[in-house]
Amino acid sequence: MENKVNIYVVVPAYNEENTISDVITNLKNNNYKNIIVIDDGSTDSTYKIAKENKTIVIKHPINLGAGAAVKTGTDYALSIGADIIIIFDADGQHMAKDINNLIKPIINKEVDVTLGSRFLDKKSNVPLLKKIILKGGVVLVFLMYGILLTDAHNGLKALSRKAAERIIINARGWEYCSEIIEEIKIKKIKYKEIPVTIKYSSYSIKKGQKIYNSLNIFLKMIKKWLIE
Amino acid sequence: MIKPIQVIAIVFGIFALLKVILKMKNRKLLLNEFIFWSSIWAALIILSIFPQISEKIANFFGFTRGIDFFIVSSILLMFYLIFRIFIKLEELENKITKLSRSIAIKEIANNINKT
Repeated sequence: MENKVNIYVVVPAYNEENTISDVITNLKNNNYKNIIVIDDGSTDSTYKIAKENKTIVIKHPINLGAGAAVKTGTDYALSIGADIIIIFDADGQHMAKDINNLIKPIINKEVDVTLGSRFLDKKSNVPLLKKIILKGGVVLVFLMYGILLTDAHNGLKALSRKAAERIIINARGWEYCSEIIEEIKIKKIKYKEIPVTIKYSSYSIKKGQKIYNSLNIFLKMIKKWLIE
Repeated sequence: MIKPIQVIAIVFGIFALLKVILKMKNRKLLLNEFIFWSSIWAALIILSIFPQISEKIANFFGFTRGIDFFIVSSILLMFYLIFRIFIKLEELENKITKLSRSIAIKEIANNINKT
């Protein structure tokens, strides 16, 4: 039965020439062949490298942000008949072997969305400062949407076709993570958190979300709340 | 007696009003924008020449001095305009995002058709 399910992995990438090749190889080695890389207007050779690795590469003409890239990827995956869409960061912090655990509850029709969480088991070695910021995000998401997660800003997620069609991402930047949670809450989509491991290399820490970014996400959430 | 500040305000108002009229002549402004901006600058000129009017309006709204009324209403107007720009910018960014996305998806569809 599993063979009939069309699984597409959406990889939003912005200037990730150092890691994109490893990320794609890692996914392919774990038998995820349908990879859609969204090059979000990179100025380095991300596009070229992704193309060389024989994946579908969609290039934004200009840099739009992670949220916009994810939406482009999911829209395209839906248009070519994906049953399950995985969102997988391009900076090499996720493990392709975790995907299997993410898709199982969706294939078994238990839930429509699975969210990766680095805090459900002890395998990820989360730096203290990062942990404080992430837990702050958890509290914020709980206060704003009333959903208590263990890890609200994890890039690794899986959506069923039904969920991907219903969840509408308007956020352009990293705040799309919170937006997905908001959509899950509003549209009463069934979800589950799945333990995943985050690899903290010095590279991914440097590239990953900084304190400034977290503040920015917070401000954008407030802005969205004000406008609507 | 005319105070220096009145002269400055009048000169500034005339200059701004001329600019608005010029822009309208070159069709760089929409009619409603033209009416909005020209009435603002015209009001500035008139109130600078006849400060008694602003005093009367101010007294009506409960301000003792005309200038207080002037400053408070200017700040309110500015906040409103900033808010409008803020919304407009958001709309623009959304449009750019949609445009870029459709360009990107069109391109990939073309590439697939070629191969």
